Amino acid sequence: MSSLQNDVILAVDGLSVDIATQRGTLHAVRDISFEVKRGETLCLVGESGCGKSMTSLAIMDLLPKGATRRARRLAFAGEDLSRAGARRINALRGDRMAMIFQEPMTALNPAYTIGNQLVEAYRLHRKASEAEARERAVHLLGKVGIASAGERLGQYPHQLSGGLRQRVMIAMALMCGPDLLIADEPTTALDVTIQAQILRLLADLQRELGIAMVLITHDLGVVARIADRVAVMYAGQIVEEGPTAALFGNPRHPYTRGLIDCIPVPGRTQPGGKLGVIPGVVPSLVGDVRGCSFRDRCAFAREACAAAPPVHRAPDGQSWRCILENAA
Amino acid sequence: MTALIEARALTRSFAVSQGLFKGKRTLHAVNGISLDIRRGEVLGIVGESGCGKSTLARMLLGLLPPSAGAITLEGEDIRALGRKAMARRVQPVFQDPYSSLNPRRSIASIVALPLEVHGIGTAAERRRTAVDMLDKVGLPQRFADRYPRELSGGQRQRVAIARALVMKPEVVVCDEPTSALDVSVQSQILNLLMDLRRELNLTYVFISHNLAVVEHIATRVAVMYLGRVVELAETAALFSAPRHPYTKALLASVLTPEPGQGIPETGLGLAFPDPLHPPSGCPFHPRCPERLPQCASVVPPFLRDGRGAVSCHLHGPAMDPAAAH
Repeated sequence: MSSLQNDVILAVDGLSVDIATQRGTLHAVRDISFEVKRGETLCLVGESGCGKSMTSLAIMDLLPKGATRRARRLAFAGEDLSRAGARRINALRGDRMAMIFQEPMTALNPAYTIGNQLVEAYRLHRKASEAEARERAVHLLGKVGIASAGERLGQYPHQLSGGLRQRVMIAMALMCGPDLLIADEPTTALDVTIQAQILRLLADLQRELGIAMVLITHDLGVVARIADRVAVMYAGQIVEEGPTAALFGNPRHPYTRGLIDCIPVPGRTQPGGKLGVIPGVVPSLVGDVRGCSFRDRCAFAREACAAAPPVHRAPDGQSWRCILENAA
Repeated sequence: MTALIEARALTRSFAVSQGLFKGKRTLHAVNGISLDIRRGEVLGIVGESGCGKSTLARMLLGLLPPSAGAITLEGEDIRALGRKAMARRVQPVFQDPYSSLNPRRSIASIVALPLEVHGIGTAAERRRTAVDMLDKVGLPQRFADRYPRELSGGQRQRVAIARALVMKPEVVVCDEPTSALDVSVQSQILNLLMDLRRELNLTYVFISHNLAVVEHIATRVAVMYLGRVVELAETAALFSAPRHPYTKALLASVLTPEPGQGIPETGLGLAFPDPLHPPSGCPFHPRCPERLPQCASVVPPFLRDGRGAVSCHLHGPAMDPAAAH
């Protein structure tokens, strides 16, 4: 087991994703590195197009056609996935590494019952009997808070509400007892009251089962409440990373600071007053991308930003990619 | 402040097919809502999916006739007023700037279209007005001859706002205007809406599921649940002292970016609101952590008092609200 590698479940080193487009190569993810330990939640946060979803798909080897990944190392529990064959990945995926998607209605097959979909991967990976698999499915549906789970097994996805579907997705991801769970915007399609319930459930299960979780979101509120550590992505790079309290308390990268200032927060922002803005737009990631990708929108930009910015590290574990050595 | 728009016992139902051989069922999207919109205010309408907030918006715009009840604009029934006269005074901004702009028209002609429909000015005058309006929403003249596909989401929403304002309306009904946008763009659009409101003396109906945004922008808030308004109050009062258990749960569910606060327990249980099968009595009672015996059978009245209005048996006339807690 992974305990020998001081409990690092996922170690991503130098991951890049390129997408071939008609205008040239789009560098969706550019040389990012991070680690997630057992029982830890890392949030990847950023706006649309920052590469956060591509990162998760690259780890799971689920990239769409036309997208290719490169990595120095992509270690899952010490095993380098970037050199593993398709057969090995298939054996791990859905078993020891699982994924939850944003829209449970598109991720669940409408033509099969919940029960069929829950037991499929378990029977495949565990060579379990139908009865064993169903027993485990009922157990997990109960765990994610679904009452009369036995009857639910015979229902189809369309018969469930959005919140229930997302619970089913979570139960399905947990069927084989994964070491790593990647959740891509798991609550974005849900109402706020249901969102709070689902996130609580995820956090409780993750702690109880000691899973390493990568949660991808654009919502800083979700990040602040669930993450142990945060990686802020911008234009395909991680521009800042650190423990949650440190990152929110003392954001060092001008983009992180800008993002936090954009959202109205009761008690901090004046009702009806001006919210912070980040002027300009995200740069194109097609072709050569040089220097700091945020410099066109940054109030602190200077000539030196045309070169690749250095990565600074603070003693509290915060790191940021910027010419500024101290907080913006 | 006087009431600019008054909605009285507004109801809208839809016949929903249950499947090939099952016949139809009536869905009460909006169920007896009475509401004033006062001149100059920003009335926030919050609630979860299926609560009827968009149906209410469409009725306030005159785009959807109510099944029962009436809407008046400064005392005049909007059915008598007519669609065109209504459109001069009440305009919409919708959620999705990708589907609400005609992809085959240039930006200037999209913004000038309402003027064209109402036969205002010559083509050259209309274009000048449109370009001026685009400038007001932060789109310089070089955007005038571009097409929607060349614009970002935030820029498209600016175009939608310009189109709504070109007729110089009094009321703008914004239905989730920033929900499709990234947060850095959302803040720009919210700032713009606030600036325009001051500059043009606008009244907003601001519909959103994002409570932090509503708290920021609204002066008064109506909370909707399964087709009804369950609580109505000034923004500061509603957020500091919510009275309806649903409002409390909704506010508790908001995840503010404050690390260390953890994820709130809503106490709502697993029941979820189904507009096709609304519960008897108070629509919220199956999820309510504070329900009383009568909640399952008796619809609580919508009681107005000095603090606003609330529809809950905990705050009934026979009961001292302080003693109920």
